[in-house]
Amino acid sequence: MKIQLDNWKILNLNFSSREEERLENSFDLKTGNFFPEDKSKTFGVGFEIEIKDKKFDLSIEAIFMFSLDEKITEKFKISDFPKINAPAIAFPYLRAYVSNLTLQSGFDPVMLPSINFVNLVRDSENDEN
Amino acid sequence: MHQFDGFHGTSFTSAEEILDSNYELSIGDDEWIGNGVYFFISGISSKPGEQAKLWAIAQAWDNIERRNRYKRFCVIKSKIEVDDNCLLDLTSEDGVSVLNYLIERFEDKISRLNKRFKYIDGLVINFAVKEGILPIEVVKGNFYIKFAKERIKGFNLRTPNCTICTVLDPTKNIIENHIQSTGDIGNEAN
Repeated sequence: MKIQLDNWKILNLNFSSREEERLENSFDLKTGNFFPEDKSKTFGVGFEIEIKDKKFDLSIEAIFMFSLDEKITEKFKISDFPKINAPAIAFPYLRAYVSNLTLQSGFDPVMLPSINFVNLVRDSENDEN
Repeated sequence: MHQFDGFHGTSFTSAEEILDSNYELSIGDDEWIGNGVYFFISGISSKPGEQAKLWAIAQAWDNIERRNRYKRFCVIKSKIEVDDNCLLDLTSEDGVSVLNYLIERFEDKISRLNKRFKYIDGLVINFAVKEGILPIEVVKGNFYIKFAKERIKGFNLRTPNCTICTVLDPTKNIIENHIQSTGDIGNEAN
């Protein structure tokens, strides 16, 4: 089975600088998958990122579209690939985008932390059990 | 024959179990429209899939433990097929007439229960199914359902915002299941 990243785009972007600096930075990340019905070999990974920097607030919604060389099965949908491997492939693009955007906006570039999606997913599974 | 799509929002783990075996029924006389598997369907809302997602997120929150019971949701899209005679449609005048007939029929029985129910729709439908009065397999109706935002803000409306249906026997009336979307719950539910 071959999988490739076809394209990605920013769906929503909110950037606002703060008049008063906050004391600490924080960062929140959510991911999700969707499986378009009309495209049996395509699936999407969605990201919602919320950055609360000392000097600004930034929220981003982005989608990354992947395609397979075979039809997507229900088994594939619940496998590790869409929730671990695909976000791991996509995340560096978003990381670079955030870094460029913040730099070009006149702030120190934000380097999002590297995310271990295996640990992230396993932790949430353990929490549930 | 009636065929339509139903959207079921649940945890990722439950979705795995549903795909593996089948749906488990929600059982209880205080259920909206009786025992069965519940779905959001097209009706007064054109986005039942989104409502199923919001439901899964709202249901994750455990108010006693003050934490989410699960961190990942899943929306399953199911194809539901039912004979016209076996669909009780409470969004129609005919359906409401049938419900009123059932209420009259079970009036004494409900009184004898000596128990106060906030709503008796589910109770009456359960009676009708148990006693085999009508060949009900699927029931649909319009209801007001609170999601995370409404729960947090304490909003309560009388105006229905969802069309839902219950399927009494999923092995009979559900012909296909597909995962439509999955995702992290984050802190949306609290």
